[in-house]
Amino acid sequence: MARTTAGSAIEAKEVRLERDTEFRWVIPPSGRMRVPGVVFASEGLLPAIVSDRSLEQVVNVATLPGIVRASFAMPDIHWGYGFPIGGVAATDVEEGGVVSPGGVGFDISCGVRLMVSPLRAEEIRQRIPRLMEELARRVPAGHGSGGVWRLRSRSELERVLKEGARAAVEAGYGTNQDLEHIEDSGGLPVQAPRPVSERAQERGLTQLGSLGSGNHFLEVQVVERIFDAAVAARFGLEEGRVAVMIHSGSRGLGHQVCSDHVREMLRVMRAYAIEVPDQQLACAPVQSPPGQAYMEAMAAAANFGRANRQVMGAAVREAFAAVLGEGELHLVYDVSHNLAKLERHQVDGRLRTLCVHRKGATRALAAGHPDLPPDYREIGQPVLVPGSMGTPSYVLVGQPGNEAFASTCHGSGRVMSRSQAMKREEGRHLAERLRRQGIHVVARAIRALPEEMPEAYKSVDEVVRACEGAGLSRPVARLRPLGVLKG
Amino acid sequence: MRRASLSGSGPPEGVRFFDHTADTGVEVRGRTLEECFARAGAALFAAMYAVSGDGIQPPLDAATEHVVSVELSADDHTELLVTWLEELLYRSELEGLCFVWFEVELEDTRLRARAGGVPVRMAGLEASGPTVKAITRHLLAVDRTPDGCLVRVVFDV
Repeated sequence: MARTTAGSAIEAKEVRLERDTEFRWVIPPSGRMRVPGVVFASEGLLPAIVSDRSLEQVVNVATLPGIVRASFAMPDIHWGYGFPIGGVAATDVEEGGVVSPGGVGFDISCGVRLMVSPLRAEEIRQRIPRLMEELARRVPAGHGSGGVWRLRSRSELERVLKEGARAAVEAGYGTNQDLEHIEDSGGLPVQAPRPVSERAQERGLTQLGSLGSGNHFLEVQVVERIFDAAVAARFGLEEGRVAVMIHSGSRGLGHQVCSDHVREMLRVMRAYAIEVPDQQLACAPVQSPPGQAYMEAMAAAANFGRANRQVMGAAVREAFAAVLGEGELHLVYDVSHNLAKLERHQVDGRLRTLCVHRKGATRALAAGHPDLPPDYREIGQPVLVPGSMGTPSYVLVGQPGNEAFASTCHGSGRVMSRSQAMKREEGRHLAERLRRQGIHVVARAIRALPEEMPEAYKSVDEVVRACEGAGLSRPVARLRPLGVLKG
Repeated sequence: MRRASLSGSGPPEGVRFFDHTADTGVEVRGRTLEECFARAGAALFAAMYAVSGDGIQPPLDAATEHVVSVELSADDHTELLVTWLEELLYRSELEGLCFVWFEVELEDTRLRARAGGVPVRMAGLEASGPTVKAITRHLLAVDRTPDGCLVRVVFDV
């Protein structure tokens, strides 16, 4: 399959895509590509994928120094900046492999947290509107400042940047038990968060424990279907139970870290003889002063992201206790989908240290991996896949033999721009349509609600099916929204 | 010195939003670079608060209470454009302002500017478009054209 367009700089270039298997498509290396592109998708998802410029971005990523195996795209791939959203790329650290802040994104450690309650949906259905109002009151959303945890000093912020969710737990937000179910036990190692600029820290001080905007949300959901009863039971998921899903990231602090380090890498890239086809792919060798500075700042921002979701999780428990009289919410898992991590993987018969970029893609460890918490070690890592507003979300589990460095999808993937969506339906009509489906929506800006309308996204069911078909992950449970707090 | 402001209906003068699947792309035309830079500032806040036309009610030029002054320099004009827009975004987040008018003076790659804002929490300004998280460098361009200048930038929302 090929696409041909030419002309102005904002039009797409031709990309050749060849079918390999039912769920695997290959872009053969050409030009400056160092490895092939590999796209995991079903035939049904393909028209949306070729309709924007995401494949061109898969090709661009394949030119990065030190990239190994392939430039991968998950089934929810869509057009981003620099990397496609749904892009995975690993570089060999010892062979001059680079780290690119654009391969992580502005929202460092943007991710998803799922908590499950012992309550059943029918017990609380009448109280959903009140619960959503209470959640909206306790969890700040939207642009600018305001957070659940008002940090009093730079030293308090520094602890968050060094320790992540652990700092939040020690300040009284949540429990030690929560930490076991957060990726990296709640925090990546950070020596001193010096490469986090003054400006980034200033933005972080006022925003810890806030949702943000755009596609970020907090949902009250019900487990509507179980696909694997044994694994679901281990995750604490049971049909009919109420759950809470939070999608948020590292707020202005993370955005500023990315902006600062992209600028620095653009400045120094020439000294490392690196050229990139898109400025947003600015990068430097992992083992170089700018590479190390970014890795440290990114880890600190990721820790802020984990602490952010931890603090909001604590606020959710309080809201449940206040409205329902019961606040017992068990943390299933908390995982990032915008991150670059140093991981050991077998490539061409050799165990290597790789810098694995996941931009809108989720790590999906298979059973037996030593980084899994003890209670999940024999079953694999939960993968949390939010649907679009008003559509189901999924819990998946990692599968062995995943060629994309144990990665899978992160959502359903946009197909429609925000402005197109805004023209389709008025916000209050959409809110009413969702209400008729039994979904209570609270939004700071009802007018902007259609940006996230279900029709703006691919079918999450189809994305999950493609992930399973491609051997990336396997479905465990599906959850349906009852209430949405839109960021 | 060139001045630009948000309009009460439709995109600011010289500004065209283009479709990007996940983010917001914008092309800005002007007779001079100064005009493009001022209009790019207006485009940034139009994306967040007035993109569909009825976000902000005039009289916008009345925003005289909250005026910030900015002085920046960079190695080239594209870097200067990103730095200018990042500065506006940072100031708006920090001070809770939606900037509605922009005055820009350029001297080679040095910029001096003033921007006037209104507090976001006033006048239902929160009830509008998506928040811009950052200024990306994807498709970034500052070009001379036969009839002036063209600036292209994608905002991460």
